[in-house]
Amino acid sequence: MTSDLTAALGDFFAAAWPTDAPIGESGPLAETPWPLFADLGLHLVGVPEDREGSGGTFADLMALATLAGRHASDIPVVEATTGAWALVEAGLPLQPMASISIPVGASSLTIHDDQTVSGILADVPWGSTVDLVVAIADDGRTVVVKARDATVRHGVDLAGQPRDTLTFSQVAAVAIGAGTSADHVRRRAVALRVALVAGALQAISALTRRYVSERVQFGKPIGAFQAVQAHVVQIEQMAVMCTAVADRLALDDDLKDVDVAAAQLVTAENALVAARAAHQAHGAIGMTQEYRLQGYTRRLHTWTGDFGEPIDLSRRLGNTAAHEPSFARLILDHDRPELLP
Amino acid sequence: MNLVPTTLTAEERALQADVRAYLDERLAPGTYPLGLGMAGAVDADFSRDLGSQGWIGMALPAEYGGGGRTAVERQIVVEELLTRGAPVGFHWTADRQSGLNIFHNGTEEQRRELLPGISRGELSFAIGMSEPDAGSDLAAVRSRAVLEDGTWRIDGTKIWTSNATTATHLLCLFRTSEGRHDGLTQFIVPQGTPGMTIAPIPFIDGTRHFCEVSFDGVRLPDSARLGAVGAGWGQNTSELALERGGVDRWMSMMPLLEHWARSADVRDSVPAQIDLGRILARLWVYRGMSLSIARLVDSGVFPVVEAALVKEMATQFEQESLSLVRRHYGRTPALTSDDPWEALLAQAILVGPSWTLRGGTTEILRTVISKGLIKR
Repeated sequence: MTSDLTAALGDFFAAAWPTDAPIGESGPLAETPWPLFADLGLHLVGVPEDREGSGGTFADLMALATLAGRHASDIPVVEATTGAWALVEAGLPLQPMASISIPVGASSLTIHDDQTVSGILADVPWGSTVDLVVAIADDGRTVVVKARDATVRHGVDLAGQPRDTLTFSQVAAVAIGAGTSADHVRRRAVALRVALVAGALQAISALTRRYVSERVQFGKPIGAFQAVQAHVVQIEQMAVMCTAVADRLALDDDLKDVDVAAAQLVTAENALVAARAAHQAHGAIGMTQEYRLQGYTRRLHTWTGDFGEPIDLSRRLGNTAAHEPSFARLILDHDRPELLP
Repeated sequence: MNLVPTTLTAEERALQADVRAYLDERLAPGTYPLGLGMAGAVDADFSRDLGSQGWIGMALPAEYGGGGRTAVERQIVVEELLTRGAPVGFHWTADRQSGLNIFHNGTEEQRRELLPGISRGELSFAIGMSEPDAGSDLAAVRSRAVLEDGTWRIDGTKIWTSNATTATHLLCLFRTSEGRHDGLTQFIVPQGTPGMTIAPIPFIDGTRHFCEVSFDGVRLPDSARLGAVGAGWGQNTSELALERGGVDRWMSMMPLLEHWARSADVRDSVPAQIDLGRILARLWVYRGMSLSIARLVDSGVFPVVEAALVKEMATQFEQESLSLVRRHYGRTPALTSDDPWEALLAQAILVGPSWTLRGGTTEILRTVISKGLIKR
């Protein structure tokens, strides 16, 4: 991205999610800065203007997600923009004012002959307070349903953000289309979450650097101790690495499975390493809800915990490599093979 | 700190294809000694052949016999060499750093004398930095160069210098005055200079590339001095950015991984696939970061901190990937095995600890990064 977009939106994010305040628990969508976010059309970045979207490239959207991660924004940025994109990809009309989420958990949805749908959508961020949910049905078609038609089991993620499980029983779909797939939706959502994590790691790095320069123990800032500096360096490394990965995925919206899997794996590992190091460098204060660190590290767990088991992704990458003529070429080549099962 | 993502252009991909085609023929499997990354065997013939392809000194200007190409293009060539465990030892240091150092800091005479030979793969450089009492604390260098009657008299000892016996030149850092940093100056010492004695120190795996170099009343003309008197520390630091930021910092294991990935050991083992996949994911990321650093170098930036940041992580991951591969081996590999891959694995186990030492230890790199972060 476009650093232009980041610069233009900097003031909005700073006002909506100030970086000098504790990060609180989230509430229903209407009680978050979502209305302001949607007023600016940010929930439709990455959807073409001639399809009622806000325009912008995939790189712009990745930059938006990075910014949201940096501010620990408590709105479904990834889910809303991915849902809107999937809906348009499926040839369906967009309702620009509607808030959208998607399931990030295991889901099953059946389309009946009368175009009603039944099934369970698990772990839908802000699922009970958005207007619409976009999901891929078991037959591969894209379905739009009204959240208020569902029976809701309320839940929260590790960051205290709503993620509800919605059960539908022969409810009328708002729309049914075809043209995208569960796999494409997953790739895009994973890439955007990598960007969220990159933003959060940037913020954690800055927070930690500031803290160790201000906190005095044994008569000097704790950042003067090499053992503490090692944590600071490691966090910055994880941030630089994740940012590089996010920026690389942002180069091309035709996301390759092999690349997304590698990015997802590395990002999940890095997030944990950085969270551990940041808590270690902060000590007790980082464990309190009065301090910002927990708001980021809890989100890291949420943003890296979905869309498949890391160990299975590793296995698939390894299986793919084992069937390629050259391991090195998988790393060096421009052309990407399909990820084997 | 930000590394701008980049991909290879069509021209760069064409170069990649050319290099692959050439090396597939020149280095047919089984016809050369396998090496671990930059520690590849010394083979002057191979280096000359590579030079005749225009693939050494690529980033040096054409007027000095170089390729007039880019750091990215050099990286493409190096990636292919290291993937094959190629015998790069003869030209490695000259190609990676000495040539560029001479170009940036040398006199016109030095450039004309040395750079064409480097690009032809005929000259081999070794680096005389460490001393018995100056390792990580390089500014503690005590070997002295004193100007007497227009020539420099050198006394002292350099230690842990790789490939000093086979090098045609040594590029050394000597103390020319007392200033901790501004009292250091670089010199180019030709092999065979009277008073310079090179003694191999057996390395942990029994190889003999590591050397101690003694200087006893060595006389050097002022034309052997590289850069201004007292400028050695700064030149050395720039060199280290080149030394640290390259793909050689995550490719030591690549020949072994290339072989292992295609073996039945991986094809038939889910646990091995899990470990291989983990290695693949991380190397894919490091490769992207190295490419970004090479583009930075091409834009005229010496990314000292970025290079340290990548080296610190990547070299530790080299060791981790070795551990991952080892845990599927099931027995102790033998250094003397008839199977060159088994011998290479055994060698990697023995020399692996050096990966996080050479070119700056992990601990020193953390200090470099930490200081760099405070400055930004």
